[in-house]
Amino acid sequence: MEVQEYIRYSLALQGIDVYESDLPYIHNLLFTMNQAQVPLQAFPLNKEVPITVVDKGMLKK
Amino acid sequence: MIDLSFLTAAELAPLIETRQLSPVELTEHTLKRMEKLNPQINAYNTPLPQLALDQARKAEEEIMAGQYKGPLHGIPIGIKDNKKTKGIRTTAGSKLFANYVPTKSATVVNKLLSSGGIMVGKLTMHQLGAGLTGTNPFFGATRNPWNLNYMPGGSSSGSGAALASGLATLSTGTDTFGSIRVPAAMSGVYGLKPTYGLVSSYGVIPAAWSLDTIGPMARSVSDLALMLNCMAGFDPKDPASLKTNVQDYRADLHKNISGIKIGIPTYYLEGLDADVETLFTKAIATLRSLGAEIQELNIPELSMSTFAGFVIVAGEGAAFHSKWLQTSLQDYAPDARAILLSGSLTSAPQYIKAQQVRRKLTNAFQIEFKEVDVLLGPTIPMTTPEIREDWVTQNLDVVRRGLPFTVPANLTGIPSLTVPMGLSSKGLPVGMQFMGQHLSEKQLLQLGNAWQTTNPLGVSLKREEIG
Repeated sequence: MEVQEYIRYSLALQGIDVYESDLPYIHNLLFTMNQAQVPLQAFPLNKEVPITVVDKGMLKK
Repeated sequence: MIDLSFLTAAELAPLIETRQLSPVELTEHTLKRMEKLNPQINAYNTPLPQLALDQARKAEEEIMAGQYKGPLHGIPIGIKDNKKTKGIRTTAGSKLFANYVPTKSATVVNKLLSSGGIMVGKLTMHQLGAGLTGTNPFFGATRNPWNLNYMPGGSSSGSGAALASGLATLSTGTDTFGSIRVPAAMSGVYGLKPTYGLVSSYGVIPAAWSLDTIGPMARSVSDLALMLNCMAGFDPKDPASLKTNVQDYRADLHKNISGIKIGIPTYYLEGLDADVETLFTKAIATLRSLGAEIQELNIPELSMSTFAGFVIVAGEGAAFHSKWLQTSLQDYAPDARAILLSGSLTSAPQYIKAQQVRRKLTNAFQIEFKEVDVLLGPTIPMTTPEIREDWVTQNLDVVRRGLPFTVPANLTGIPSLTVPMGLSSKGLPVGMQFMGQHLSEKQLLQLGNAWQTTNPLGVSLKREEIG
């Protein structure tokens, strides 16, 4: 599936009708995120517990 | 006769306290200047002349009755338009909220007004905080007072531009991936992104909850300290608010910085524009001459911050806007819309990975802070760009280049102070940032104050003509 077709289809599943003129911008941003993901391979992230937010107000209850 | 336009709050406060200057006179001066210059600069989308004068008259009465509240009493303050203001529209720079009039004010607004600050208007911003340029199709582009053809930086674009043009003495900003630091740097003023949770975010329209930080912007470091004294503190209405003692952030301002250890991550030396590199090299030499000990550091984990920054900014933003993206897509500017829609397409595993990156990066910083007191780098790697016609592409490009330098402080929650570093060859300000351990604001302000004494811009902001 073409990337722009994938974007259109995935957003439609979320009830969002994307403008055709936005597709290249969204495509570029997704490309940037994918490129930026490459350096993660050098680090053993599976050993890391994701940062979690502990809400003290909730704990009191 | 004193020109009130560019005096700092620290300079104005004694005049007001001793009744040599009336808050009404000061406010009228600011409003007149706003009337003259705001049409060119577009720093305010909602000037509030009548409210400001009412507040100034009340301040004057209080002071005349011997009820001086402190150094913010009677001082004109601009409020970024993503902070809710009771009875006054709060747009977050967006058509989406064009008619939104809150019934309550943000905690930080209440605090500043309770201290006697005069709210002169709501400041323009990059739409929804989703950009670093200050271009806004709904309210128009905000202009850089140093040269009106150039961008002022964003998203707190009006906050920086108002200070640089003498349209406010103080202003507020918010910083999700650089939105205080970038406009402060591009407009040649000072901005502090505090430790996450030190200043309440209650009543602020979110960009990305886990990164959003509210902070002060000003024309001097001592004014940042004055503002932080007022803005910081626990707020039970904000679940992320820190229960920590508020310090007197002015206390160490004039302490010598001799012996302070500064680390420069090599990550912050990559991809710099030539002018930024030249100015940064000079700044390092100047800091050494002030007694700072400087060394380069290698923090490989910083290479992951671009990924984590983009995924969290876009993902959390998309979550907040999910309903409106279905029903009101036409009300978003194309650049903000693209960021939010790309966030709608990021996956849950990507978001979790981004949270793992945050722990890894925070741990890496903690290790370095055992060796050095402060980290230093240019605020962004580029000089201030001219406003281009293809502003959507331009904003996304500036975000791509700027975010890697700014977002590490947001991902790890550490404070970062941006200060003017000098002027580029085109005469536009360039900034650098000091980043410290959590809750090390006092030390950052001490360093910033020492730096300010070197008069880094080399020229005064007290210029007759703007642009």
